[in-house]
Amino acid sequence: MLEIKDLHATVAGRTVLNGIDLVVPAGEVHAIMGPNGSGKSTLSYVLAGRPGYEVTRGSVHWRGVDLLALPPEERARAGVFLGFQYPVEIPGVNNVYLLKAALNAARKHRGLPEVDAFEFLNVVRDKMKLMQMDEAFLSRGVNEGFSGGEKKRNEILQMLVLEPSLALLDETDSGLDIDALKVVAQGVNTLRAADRSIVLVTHYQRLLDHVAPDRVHVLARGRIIRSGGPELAHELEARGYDWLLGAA
Amino acid sequence: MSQSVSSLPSTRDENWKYASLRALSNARFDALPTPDEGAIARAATLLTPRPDGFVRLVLVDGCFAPSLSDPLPRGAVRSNPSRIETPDDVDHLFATLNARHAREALHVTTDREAALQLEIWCISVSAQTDGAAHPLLRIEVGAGGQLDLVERHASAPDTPTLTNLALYLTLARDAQARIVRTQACDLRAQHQETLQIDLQSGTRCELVQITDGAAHARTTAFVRHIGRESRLRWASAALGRGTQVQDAYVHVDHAAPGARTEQFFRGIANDRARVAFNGHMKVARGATDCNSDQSLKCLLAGNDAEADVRPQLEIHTDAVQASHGATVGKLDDTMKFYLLSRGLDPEVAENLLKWAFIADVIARIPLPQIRTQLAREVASRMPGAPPFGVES
Repeated sequence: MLEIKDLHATVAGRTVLNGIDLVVPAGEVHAIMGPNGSGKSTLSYVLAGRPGYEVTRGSVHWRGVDLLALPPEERARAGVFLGFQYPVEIPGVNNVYLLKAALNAARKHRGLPEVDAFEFLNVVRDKMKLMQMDEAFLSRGVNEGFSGGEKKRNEILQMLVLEPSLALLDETDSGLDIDALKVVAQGVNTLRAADRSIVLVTHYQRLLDHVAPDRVHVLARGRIIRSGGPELAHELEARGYDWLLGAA
Repeated sequence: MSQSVSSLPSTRDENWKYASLRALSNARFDALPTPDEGAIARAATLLTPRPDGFVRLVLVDGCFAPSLSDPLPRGAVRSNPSRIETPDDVDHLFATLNARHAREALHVTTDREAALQLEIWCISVSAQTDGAAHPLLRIEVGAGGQLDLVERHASAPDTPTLTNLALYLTLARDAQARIVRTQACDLRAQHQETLQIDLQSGTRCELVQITDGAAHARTTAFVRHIGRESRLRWASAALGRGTQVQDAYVHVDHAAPGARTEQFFRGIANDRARVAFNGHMKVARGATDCNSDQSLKCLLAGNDAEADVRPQLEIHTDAVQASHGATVGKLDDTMKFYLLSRGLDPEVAENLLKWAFIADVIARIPLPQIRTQLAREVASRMPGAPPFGVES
């Protein structure tokens, strides 16, 4: 279970998160929606431990562990995965190396032996088929020269390989055409499991047409101002955010 | 005769602003004695497996070492260095010292249209209290010929050696050279080198240099496009750590029409190291349709590190294309966070990014089997950065 209490955070001295309370039980998919600048990406970065995003108050516990006390690499090894809104390009580091290094870091943390190259490639190939990605992507630099859609598929591929227990997907649907959206959604749905929590940050209902959320939350001015079932997303799609912002 | 200390270049000299020659102020430039069996044996321990098909020649303390070398190939001789003349200016001072003190020259001349694969090791094992090693290499590639040259510089561990290399390379008309140079001397070593490369018409020269050794290393290179339509691709990487100084001045003179140069440099200054690269492109009057492209970048990876990259253009003709870019920056925080968010250790993440920074230089190594070997060697000194990027 992910448990966020009264979370406040600043970025470059500016308060962005202003008291977030949120619980995501294991086995559930929660969608976080909200207008531009509401703090959705900041919340993702804070949970993943990005330097420069300073928590000034509140707590975050994941499976009972104080997440905020861990550096980002330890959060990742503990099972937290952030799918970036804008995945960075790292020319000179190829995908297969990063994937293998990341997987082995997680396995080492769990007390498991490292996977050998043969075993690793078998795992990756299966996931790549699911994501409809060509194997040539493996030998290319991380996200180097990828289209926006390819970058997002690559994020989901990484997630499928790492099998995190908490997946935070920050606007994974942005920049995707409808076919790519279906592929990405299929990847996310593949990962749904009773012991796993998924947080989808999104602007639009269309991703939620393919990945059915258990709960929908509206984030505005750094706080959750409304929570509800999947129908809330449809209502937002029809009415926008203004009616909620006025009431908040 | 010992060289007078007062005549060494100083930071007041234009092309030596970033050099640090204080350690040489009391150095003796007299040639080291001819290496004895003990010195040869110590040098032997530094050799790595020979690339397939290459002729290996080894110099120890500046002297040819037959017992560590293959038989001299056709056209190679050990000659008297006395005929070498060097310009009387501060940039050639170390070349002059080399010409004056070198015990011998290794002179290789290839036949017209012939191909030669040569691996040359210059290993210094004796301390500079006994003098300096002055390896002197003269290589002339015949018209239409092909030279693959791997040049390796190393020194004995924990020994304050002083090496002063001079390399003279000439490519005759339509000849091609693929050159890989490495300098991985001990951190107590001083390493000076002067390169003179002359390119005749229609020649192609690809040179990749990787330096990460020595307390102070300086490359002074003069490349002359003497003939029309000659091509030079220069790519180098310099890695500094601790208090190392890695300094280079590369002067490329486009003296004939149609000459093209691509110059690519990537440096990483860790800790308190200083890394500098000064690329001076000159296009002479009448040398029309020349093309020069410089990309010089340095990464500051230490709080007290220094980095200087300096592209210089000196153009004396109108019809020329010249571009240059130079940047000094730090590790990209977003890239680092991306790797950390995938569970990588901070040190591994940083080294991966450093590896990525120089990967384009490694990828430019024109000899595949050498590329893989050197990638492994460089990566072995950067934990967490195996050379997958170039092996796949």
